[in-house]
This record gives sequence, C-alpha cells and structure tokens, in this order.
Amino acid sequence: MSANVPNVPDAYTVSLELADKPGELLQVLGPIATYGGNLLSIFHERGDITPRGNIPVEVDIQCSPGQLESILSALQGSDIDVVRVAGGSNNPGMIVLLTGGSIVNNISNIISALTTLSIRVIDFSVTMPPNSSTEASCILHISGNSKGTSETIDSINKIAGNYDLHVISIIDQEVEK
Amino acid sequence: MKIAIAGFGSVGQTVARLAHQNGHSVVALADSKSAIIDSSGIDINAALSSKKKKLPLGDGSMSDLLESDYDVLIEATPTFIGDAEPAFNYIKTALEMGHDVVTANKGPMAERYDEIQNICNGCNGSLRFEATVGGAIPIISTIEDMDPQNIISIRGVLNGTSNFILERMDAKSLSYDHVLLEAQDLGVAETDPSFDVGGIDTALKCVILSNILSDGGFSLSDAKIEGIEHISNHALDLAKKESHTIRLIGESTRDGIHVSPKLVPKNDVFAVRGTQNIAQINTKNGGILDLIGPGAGGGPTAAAIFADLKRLQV
Repeated sequence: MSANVPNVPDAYTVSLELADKPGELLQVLGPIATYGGNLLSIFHERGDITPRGNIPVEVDIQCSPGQLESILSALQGSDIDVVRVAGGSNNPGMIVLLTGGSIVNNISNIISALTTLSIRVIDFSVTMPPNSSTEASCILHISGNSKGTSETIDSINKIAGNYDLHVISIIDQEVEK
Repeated sequence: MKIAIAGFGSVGQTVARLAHQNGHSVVALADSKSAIIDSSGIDINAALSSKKKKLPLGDGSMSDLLESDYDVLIEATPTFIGDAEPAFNYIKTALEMGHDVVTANKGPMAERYDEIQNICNGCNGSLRFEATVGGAIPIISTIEDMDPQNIISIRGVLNGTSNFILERMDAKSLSYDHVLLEAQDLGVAETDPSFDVGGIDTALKCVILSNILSDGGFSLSDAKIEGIEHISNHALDLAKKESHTIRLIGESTRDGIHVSPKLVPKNDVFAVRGTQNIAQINTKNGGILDLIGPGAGGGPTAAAIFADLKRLQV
C-alpha cells in the first residue's frame, strides 16, 4: 500500500471463488469482522458454478485500504481464491478489452506505448479462437493512476487505433452529477 | 377515439386487434398497397385475413386514409433514415389537417425532429411518440413528466436484437454468425440485420432522446456509432473470466450521442437479458431511474401507442 493513500474508509467489491464445501463462507466473514470491515452485501447466484467447480461470491465491504490489505492477506492465508478487488475511489483500476487482428504480434508494443503515457498494465490475458490465425482478444488490467477514467480510455483508444484494434471499455459507474 | 392506422405490419396489426378493447374504433386502415375506410368501424378480422392472404385491404389509397374522418392517425409504417419518407409526409399531412398523431416511427423523430416540432407549433394537432424508444417502457413520458430540463443524461440498452445475440453468445459460447442465424429464425433479427447489430437502431433512439433533452438539433449524422459485429465469443469469454459481459450501450446527452459495446459487470443493471431493454435516466434532483422492460415487438409497441392515445384524451 503506497504511503500517500489516505487511510480512510472506502467501498470495495471483493470477488471470490469458494470451494463447494460447508464452512467456506464463514472463512470469508471471519477476517472481515476481525479487521473491522463493514459488510455491506454478499452476492451469490444459486447454481452458479465456475468452470473449475467453485462457487463465485461477491462481497461488498467498507473499510480503509489498510484494513482491506489485512483482510485480503487473511483470506489468502486461508486458501480463499480472491479473483478480483474492485472499487476504492482513492485509486481505482479498470479493465479494458481489445479485439482485432494485430494483438498477438503487437501486445508488448501496446503495453509499452501505454506505459509511456503513465498507464500501467498490471496484468493481461490474450485468447485466440482455434480456427483463426490472427484474430484475437486481450483483456488489460490497468492500475489506478492520477488520470480520470475518460482520459485513460481516450489514451487507450488512441494507441489501439494505431494498431486497428477495437476497444471495449467498461461502462462508467460514476455518472455525471 | 376514431383511429386511422397507417402501416399494417406487426405493430399496425396488433394495434388494430386491440383497439376495441382499449375503447377505440378503427375507421381507416392502410398498408403500402391499399387502404380501407369505414366510418362505422372496420372489420379487423377480415382485414387481418386479407393481409394474411396477401390480398388488398380495400380499394382506397393512403391519401384517402389521410383525408378520411378520424381523430388520431396511428403512424406505424417502416422506419427509413435520411428523409424519413413516406412517414414524415403522413405525419405532416395529418397534423396540418388538425388531427392528432401517434407514431411508432423513429425516422421522422430522429432525422427531422425540428421540422416536425415547427409543424406541431403551427397547427392544432398534437403529436406523441412514446413507441419510438424502448417499446412499452415509458421513457419519453417519464422525461416529459420530470421536465427535460431536469434530466442530465440517458443511457441504456435499447436494441433487443443485439442484446439477444450478445447474451446468447456469452451464455453458450456460440459464434456471432451462429447466433445471428438463430435470431433470424426466431424472428428476433431481420434478414438484413445491419440496422440492429450495426448500432443504427440504438442510435436513432438516442438521437430522439437527445432531441427531447435539447429541444431539437440532432439527427443520425451527429451520432458516433459502433456496432457489435466485431464481438467474438472469445472476447466475451475473456470478459466472463472477469465477471463481466458485453452490452451495446447507447448514451444521450445534450452534447451528443454515443453508441458502442461496453464491458458491464455481469450482475449490473445494464446486463439485461434476452430482448429486454433498459433506460437509465440520470435526473438532477431525483437521482437515477432505471426503467426495464420489453423493448420491441407488436404487443409492447402497441401498449406504448395505447398509452399515448390515453394521454391525448386527458
């Protein structure tokens, strides 16, 4: 956790995958209570199972970044699979999807070009359909930065345009007030 | 009320079938080839039977329908972009003759909104067009009730065909081409699907909404449009691994119109299913309103038309 992030409470959505056995949810709730997180909601769709046979659960909590870090370490220590953490308006990251014919050959150039614009890609995954030699899709995880969401997306659009790629950005959760 | 129905496709036929139970009498009926006029009320079953057998509805013409004795013209002819004819002319003629008009046609309201408003201002007839956006969902009347000046923006999923295709591709990992064929077999997509999957239909609806917010000034050429043709099921699979899906989102503001596919959290309000639509209205003082429902088809569109007829009676 960077030192300049204020330690004030914020809302986070923690996406988890739980093994299909009794007591798993308690393993999740324990650390939230222990470290003083405020549980806002738990979402689980009955019958929803991941391809690996786990149960996807989304937990909304309110806590400080420091508390979040403790909760996440405790969860990981109990072998709970934390898939994603979203929210925290102090420093939100985002995902963006790219599709097109030139991804595979240019992914490192694209990431470098984004880095020069202070847009840091912290993770990415690429898929290619088996029957295609070039067409592919790529999802980028962008870390939080000092730019606003729309400025970041504009920059990604510009770079993707150079490689003739389509950009599918995430719907803006914060509408104009 | 005595209604004249111009256009006898899915919407026109449903309105004709349900007119009596909604307290209206159909006194004129026309498709692109002929018209039937009967001031004592048309035999709807006979007209539906003629239509089914591809026989003329009667020996009249559209001009005869427009000049006949009716209270409200229900304009339900096909949507054309550009000059929006012949619908524009039907609406203009009826309004200038002092009749009220209820239209389900996006063409005139998106492409020639300012001209239509000028015609309305100079005549005694009123025009309503709830059915142009989001089928049975009361989007336009909600904006009207709250007053457009209290609305900041509207965004949503406004094309059921694209939504059906994206949802089915996502749920079953099927290819775009495969699902498009299914949609065509089910009658969810047209033979030429470009209007829907290319984002034009969504854009027309958003142009209408931006026109309401700004009291005119927009047409389709002002919209930035990207469709869903390039969305592959492996792109959807990647989104799914992040607990997201993809939806075709239209956005209307006073600054313009944007239509493009967006990543949407899979449990989000925008992740509507099948041919459902959602309109999210961002209001100045009333918070955010999410209106969800069936966005197309004969029944929902006719429901919006009957709601407009009721508003004209108040």
